Amino acid sequence: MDLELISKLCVFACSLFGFCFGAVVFLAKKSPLYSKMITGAVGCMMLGSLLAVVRRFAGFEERAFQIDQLAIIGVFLFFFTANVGIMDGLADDRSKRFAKYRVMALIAPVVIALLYVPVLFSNAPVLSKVIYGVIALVAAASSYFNFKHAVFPDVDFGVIACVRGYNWLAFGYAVLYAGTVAARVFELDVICFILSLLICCDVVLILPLLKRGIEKWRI
Amino acid sequence: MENMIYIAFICVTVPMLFLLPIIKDKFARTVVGYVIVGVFCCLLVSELNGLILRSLNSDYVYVTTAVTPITEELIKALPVLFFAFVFSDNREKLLSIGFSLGVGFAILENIVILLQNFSTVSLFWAVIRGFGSALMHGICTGVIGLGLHFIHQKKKLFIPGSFALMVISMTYHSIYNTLVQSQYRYLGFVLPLVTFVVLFIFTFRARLKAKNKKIQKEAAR
Repeated sequence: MDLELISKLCVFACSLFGFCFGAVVFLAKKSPLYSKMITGAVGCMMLGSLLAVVRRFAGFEERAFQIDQLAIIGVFLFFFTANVGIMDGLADDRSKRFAKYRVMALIAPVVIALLYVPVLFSNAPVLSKVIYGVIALVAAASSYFNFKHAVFPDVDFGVIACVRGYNWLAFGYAVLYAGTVAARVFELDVICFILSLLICCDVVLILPLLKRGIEKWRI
Repeated sequence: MENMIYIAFICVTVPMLFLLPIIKDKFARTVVGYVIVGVFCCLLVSELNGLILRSLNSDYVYVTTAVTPITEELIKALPVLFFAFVFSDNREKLLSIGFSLGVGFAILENIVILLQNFSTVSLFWAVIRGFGSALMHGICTGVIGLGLHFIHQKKKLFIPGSFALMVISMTYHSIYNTLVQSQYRYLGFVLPLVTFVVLFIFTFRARLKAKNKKIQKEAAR
């Protein structure tokens, strides 16, 4: 087995654990919609990595566009939807006193963009560049809100502060994924493997940390 | 043989259309109506997939694992979205509607595949297609329906949330299509079965909880 397949198997196993945890803790019980959306994101990761593993085992040819790339877009869309649709309105009242944090959060899309630039100038096919560009765009939008909520001050009831750990991990996932893409394009297999292992740790921790944060909402 | 899909479509939908006004219960009528919509979606998608297959030089494996899951799930999701935003966002109703649409889709798809491979099909093939493909289509649209119940709670969630749900069903569909065309095809038929059992347990538990709550409320009165 090559490093790429091992890393894909590891990501699948970890995301499967994460999704099962989320399904038992959040989906099966009455829990905030926010946690259900994040479970959906981990579910998307799990399905995407399963598809990549199945395709490798089946021996099908790798093309520039595959549906597991769409699954990654799904992951970031779930993160984005959860933060924009549910959390952002609770924390940010669009007043001037929070302008500093809104500007500070721009660091996140800039980091994602910086990781995408090498891909843009690589020898990868144009279609791959376009697809990774779309993924980078959605990842940048989602990580903007993750970063913003990670640094945002504890406003009214500490809603944001409780899920700070989760937001750091979600931002970390976006950065690690963008790094993996860049490493894969330049065929840096060992770096890609290390980044994938870090993604595994991120995915395993994301929902338990969210659970710990959400439990504080009820206190 | 060219018009076979239209012949199958008429044979399946016309009897069901006559059944509609006879059904007394309004929701049961809607469920049968959505089975018919599913059959129609399959007809629509078959034309679209044919065009895509021709434009991609008939690369059957690539088209069925990377393109048709997108077109099929996109077209199947539209009537469920319509139901969620026009009629009801009830969790049970959306799951039933989604699942029935997927099953309707699978009915015509199975008939068409049966007609195309008439000389090679067997009883085993029928069992496999019935359990695998029908459940997979039902689960894919059912999950969209279930997710729409949550997304409908907030307007801001609608566009990105609906797309994210479609991505889940597209990926699941692609996993199934990849598995059934590989040497691990039996796993492809186990996957929908396992998912269905899990989905059924979740739904059954939710129903039981709702029923117990209702009994407790009535007892408190």
